[in-house]
Amino acid sequence: MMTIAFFKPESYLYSVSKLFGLIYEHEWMEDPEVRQMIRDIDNTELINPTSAFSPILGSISVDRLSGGVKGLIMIKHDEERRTYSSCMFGDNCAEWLCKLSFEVDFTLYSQHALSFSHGLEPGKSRPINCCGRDGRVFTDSREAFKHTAVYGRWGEDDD
Amino acid sequence: MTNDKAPIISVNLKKINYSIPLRSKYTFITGDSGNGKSTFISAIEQDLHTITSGYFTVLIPKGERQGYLTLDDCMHQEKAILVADEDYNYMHYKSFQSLMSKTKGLFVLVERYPFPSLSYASTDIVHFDNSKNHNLLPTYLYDIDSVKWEHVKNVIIEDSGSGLSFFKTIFQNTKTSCGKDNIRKLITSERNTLFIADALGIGSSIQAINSALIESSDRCNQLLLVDSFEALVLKSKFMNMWEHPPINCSNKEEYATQLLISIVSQNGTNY
Repeated sequence: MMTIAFFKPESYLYSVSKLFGLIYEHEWMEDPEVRQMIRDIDNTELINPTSAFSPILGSISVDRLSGGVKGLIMIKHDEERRTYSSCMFGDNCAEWLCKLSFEVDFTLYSQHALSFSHGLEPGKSRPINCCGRDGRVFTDSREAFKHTAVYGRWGEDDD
Repeated sequence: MTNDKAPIISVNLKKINYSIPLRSKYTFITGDSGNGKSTFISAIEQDLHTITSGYFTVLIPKGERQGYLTLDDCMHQEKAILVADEDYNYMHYKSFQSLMSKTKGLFVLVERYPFPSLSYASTDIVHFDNSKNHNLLPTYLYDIDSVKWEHVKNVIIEDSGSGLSFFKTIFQNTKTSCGKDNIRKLITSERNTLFIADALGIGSSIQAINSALIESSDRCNQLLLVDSFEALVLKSKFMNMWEHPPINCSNKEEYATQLLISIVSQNGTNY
């Protein structure tokens, strides 16, 4: 289940851009879902656990995957770190965040207006397994977004 | 008066071409994951960019390599463009933002996080977008002629300082949202409503509002962004006295207000 945090958690990951390269394990990259995430988000094909091919950048180290896809991989496989800032995810990560909400438990610290229904036709939503403020549970991505739009304190939490 | 010339940062590699005119003190680069934001910053880091108008870039926090130890060192460099990628978490701190507003140079920040303590316009946010999914593009309007009037039953403006009396004479059913932050909430609950807000100061809220518009698109709400009410008056044929703020102006809304006050106090209201 994805839990949405509206107040600053004791610890959370704001960016995984540099951390990912230091901690990722090769077996994470052998997961077919990870391969698909990389394809969907970065339009990039994983060649082996350490390198990938991007039509724009050519052959790249997995270190150069986008911050969003690295965050998704860590949500799926890094059992140690469970709380992530929403800011590392573009709206195009929403579909995978919704999928992962049925697979693993993690917390998304709502720091910006992440749209969970990204890419859908107007009026459509996707299934989500999400817990909001006061334990409210949402199964519909539009309802989950509406909840974050009401309670999000975006840009107000630091210092 | 015209604005001093906006510098343009360009990265032109074999398959990567970006060209960003910096029209304001703050430029925020945002967009979906995997759209090349960090690649753009990497290209600047490796000096693979060009820049016009005599400006130069300083990477935060790597500026020390370029001979700049801290942001303080850059504060008085008018031609400095301070660039930071999204992993620079310190930019969220209000102390840093306060320093930013005092700095004479310009900022280019890759960031989805909103900065309500800084005054910036919706047009100061640059979307890197490789998507062909056009329903994801910003849904707000800048031109009153683009409003679909057949859908409009109510009008809500940002606050009473945004020309409430003026808009009430045109739309009798006009209310205020009591602030830009309430717009995103109202968009998810109201229907057939035209929201009118000030473009010059809405930068920190615009992504949330845009997401709310996309998520609630079946509610037939629309957002019309006008320059601040004061800028609207200054630009109108009635006055025709708009002056572009200088590029490093830290608050364009305030600039327009002060300009209007200054013109009216010097010349009265007999235009």
